[in-house]
Amino acid sequence: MALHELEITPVRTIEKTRRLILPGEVNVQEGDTVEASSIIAKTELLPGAPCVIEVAKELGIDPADTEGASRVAVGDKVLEDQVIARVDHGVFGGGVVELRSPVEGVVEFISNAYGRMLIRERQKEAQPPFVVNAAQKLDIPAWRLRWHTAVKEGDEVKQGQMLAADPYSVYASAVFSPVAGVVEKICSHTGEIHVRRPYRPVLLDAYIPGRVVEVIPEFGARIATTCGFIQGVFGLGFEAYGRLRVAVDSPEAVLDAAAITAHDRGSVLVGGSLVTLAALRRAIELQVAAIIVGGANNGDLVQVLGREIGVGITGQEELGLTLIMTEGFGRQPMARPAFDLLAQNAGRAVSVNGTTQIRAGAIRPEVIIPLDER
Amino acid sequence: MQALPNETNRASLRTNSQIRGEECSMESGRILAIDVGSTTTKALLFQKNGDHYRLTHRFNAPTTVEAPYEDVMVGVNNAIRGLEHETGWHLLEGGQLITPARAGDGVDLFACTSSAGGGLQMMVTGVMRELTAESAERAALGAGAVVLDIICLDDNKTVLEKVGRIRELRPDMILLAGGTDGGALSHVIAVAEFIRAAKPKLRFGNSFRLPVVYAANADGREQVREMLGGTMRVEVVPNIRPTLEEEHVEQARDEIHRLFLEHVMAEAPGYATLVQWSQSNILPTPAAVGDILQALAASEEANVVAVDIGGATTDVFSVMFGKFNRSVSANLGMSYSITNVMAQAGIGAIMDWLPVELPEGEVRNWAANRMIRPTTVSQNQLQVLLEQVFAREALRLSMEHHRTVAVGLKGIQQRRQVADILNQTRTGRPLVDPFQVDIIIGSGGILSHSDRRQALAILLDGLQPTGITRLYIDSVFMLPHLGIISRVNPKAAMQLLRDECLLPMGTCVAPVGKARPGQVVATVKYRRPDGRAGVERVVAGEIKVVPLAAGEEMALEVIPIRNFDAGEGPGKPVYGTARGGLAGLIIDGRGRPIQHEVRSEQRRAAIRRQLAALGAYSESQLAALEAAAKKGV
Repeated sequence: MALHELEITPVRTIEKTRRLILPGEVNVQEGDTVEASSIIAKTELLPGAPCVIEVAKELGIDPADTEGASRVAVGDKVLEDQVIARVDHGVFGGGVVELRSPVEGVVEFISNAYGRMLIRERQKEAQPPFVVNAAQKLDIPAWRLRWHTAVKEGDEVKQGQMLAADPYSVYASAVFSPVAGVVEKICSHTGEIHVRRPYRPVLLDAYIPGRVVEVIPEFGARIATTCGFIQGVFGLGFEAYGRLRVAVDSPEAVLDAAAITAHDRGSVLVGGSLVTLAALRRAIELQVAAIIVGGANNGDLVQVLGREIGVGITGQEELGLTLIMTEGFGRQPMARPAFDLLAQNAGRAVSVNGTTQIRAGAIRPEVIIPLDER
Repeated sequence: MQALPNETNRASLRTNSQIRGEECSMESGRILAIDVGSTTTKALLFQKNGDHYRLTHRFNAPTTVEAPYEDVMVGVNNAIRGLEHETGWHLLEGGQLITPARAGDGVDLFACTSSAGGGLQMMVTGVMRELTAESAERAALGAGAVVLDIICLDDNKTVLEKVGRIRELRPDMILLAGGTDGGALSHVIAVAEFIRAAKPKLRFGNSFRLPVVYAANADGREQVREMLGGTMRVEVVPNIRPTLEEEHVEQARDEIHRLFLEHVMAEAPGYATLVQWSQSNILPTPAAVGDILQALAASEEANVVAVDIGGATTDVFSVMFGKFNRSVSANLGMSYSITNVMAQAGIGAIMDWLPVELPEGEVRNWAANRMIRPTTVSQNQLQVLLEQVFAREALRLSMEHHRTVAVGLKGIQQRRQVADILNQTRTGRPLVDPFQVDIIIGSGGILSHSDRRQALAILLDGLQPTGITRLYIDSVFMLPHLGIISRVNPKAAMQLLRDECLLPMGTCVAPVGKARPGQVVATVKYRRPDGRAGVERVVAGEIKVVPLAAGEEMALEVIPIRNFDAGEGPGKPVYGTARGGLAGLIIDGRGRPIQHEVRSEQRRAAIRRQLAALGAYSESQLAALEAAAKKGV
């Protein structure tokens, strides 16, 4: 029987800190009870490149004076059209010049080196698309627009990305996107390109059911739960949760494709000593949430992933499945205490995370079996 | 825990130590040198006997810098107590090292190197990746640091990602480079802005400020000091690239060393005591290895390449025409990183080195299990063979990586003479020309602990020396110890290097070209000092060994055929000297890079012949491995 040196604990308390990367809104309060799938926070700030405002250029000042001219600071929320910078050039210099924010969002960075301000834009639902008169700017007939576009409908574009170009144009040789978004329409009748900014808020779930013990303003919360806990030795995939089902008879048994059915969609399956390549593919096809098993063949995982497993952090693989191996590679019977703990809790909702980092203070994959299930 | 020495005490400690070091070299000295590695603390005791020092005792203990101990002195004391047990001497008294030696107890000199806790972990920032940032990376690597990341203006990260990366990595120190003296300031100020915005946190201790070494445009010194000095400790050194044509990394390296000792290591758990005990500076392990290799290269007037293959990383050092370079292949090692060796080399390239048949799936699973349990020790000869096979590819890839780091300066206009123009060369070219390498040294667990001839085979297959090259194995991983000793007693260090550390394996003659297996590609004529002479043919695809004992020499003439090169050009003869060793004169006709037979049976047969020729594996050992392979790993 496999010797399992990592943690297997029938009952303990676990706390998880759940945090957004960008500030947003927290939906819970201290003392609230949450489910694993409860959305506890969300942010509407657009990830990716922020909106760049050339403050020094717009105000006609030296870049080193950018911070001094700014009327907002890093971290401040700004509204669209709010004054974000101001300079008084005096009566003979042109008077007061104000710069207004083109977007609603949060000030992320102010650079005296480059004279710029970066604003992380806040998304809004149901916004009209930005319309770019590309044919007019390029001085070409509308019907020729598609000959000159560098993008097509459905493409994601960044702010400042080239949409169309005509090197022979008299007025402008290229047209750029004023915003980040998705190209919604290229019209050969009007000569316009429509860029829509899709509403895609970042949602943060609780991951484990439990009680909110602390709220982190604008970012998230800390959640505690009483649970059984199993630490794996290696995993793939990120957080997942679902109902636990033991799909084999013993820790030595092999989990093959025949044992996985359509009823297992969203479930967390327990295997024995090995999950076969066919079973992995079937699980992905049927949208099984996760598999916990003693072992798997390195070659099979490489085939499923489409690439070799190098060193470093796992957990970001877009596998369509979270896999947790409790013993190692190859056929390795699951440690009896782990198998028994899982079998005793069959039917419960469990939370798993395949994230693994072997060196630098090892992170190991985890299985959390909440015991306070409502 | 003893109080931290203040700045004055540290300065006087070093001055006194230098004086004591000089005195020590004249007494019948006992030297204790300890390398505090990331997993093992290795203590070596050297004794003077007449005019010579000898390694008399050694003891290893687990390193205790991480939880639950979080005090490196626990491991150091354990290692010293182990030596006490072996020698019967008292080396410690009341928790202190007895120094100087008295009445048979104690030591005269204590020196220390360390890579514990991951050693010195730095971030390097620059303006352009291929110019100033690359020079800064060389400075940091040469100082023995692990470079966590390089942040430049022209990398693909957004501002948020740059700032977030600096924050999440918790470096021990930041090296800020960028811009030539008198050039535009805005870029280097922009980099300083990222650092300021990140508010980087420290790995150890919250009581001191993060050191930032400013080695950029001299005109930006005051502004950056003002920007960062409130929350960080800014130390200014001359610009690493004052002009595009010049690179001066030495002062930046020295400052990194100094800050590492005084600032970083002093805050790491237990290091304050180690600093007090040490009679010379504590150095990062790779910096000490660099010191002794540079001393060797100068003493032999030779170009030297050394490799240290570890569990997580493979370090490659080169001293080529006096210029020292170090690269860390942070993702190529024998345990933590072994699956990355597989990912980069390809499972096929690794299995091509096997002299026995094994299913690919078993080799993969073995490597993956090694990765997830990195402290595992091989349980049988078949697993040892697998380790050796992976080591070959780790070395090959690390050497390729080193050639990209040890390059001439990029971004410059070379002053050209007519001859130069006729031989157009691109700047940024590799400095390590295999034909110019005179000495190769192999070090690290797999090489130091393997059977010596098997270790030789790994070096030959992995590094593929060309021309005429002498090969050595570091017998007990002593290079760091000798490096730190060389700072106080250079003569003793060099004597120990030659007599105790470097195990001579012999001299390899390897001409380069393409030929059919079995074709004669060169002739090697040799003559011993007593007049005995001989001739050997270099046969494509084969290795031959001519016995030549350590301490013996032969004059060589290597005459390649028309399309083979032995170092002086195709078909041109090369003259040199072979120095003996465990193997002797190794005549390697496999060509470079080594090409394996396509058909697996023929390939395995060729590898078995080559291993047998080197004495790495006998026929009976290979037969036993064949039988074991049928049962599985």
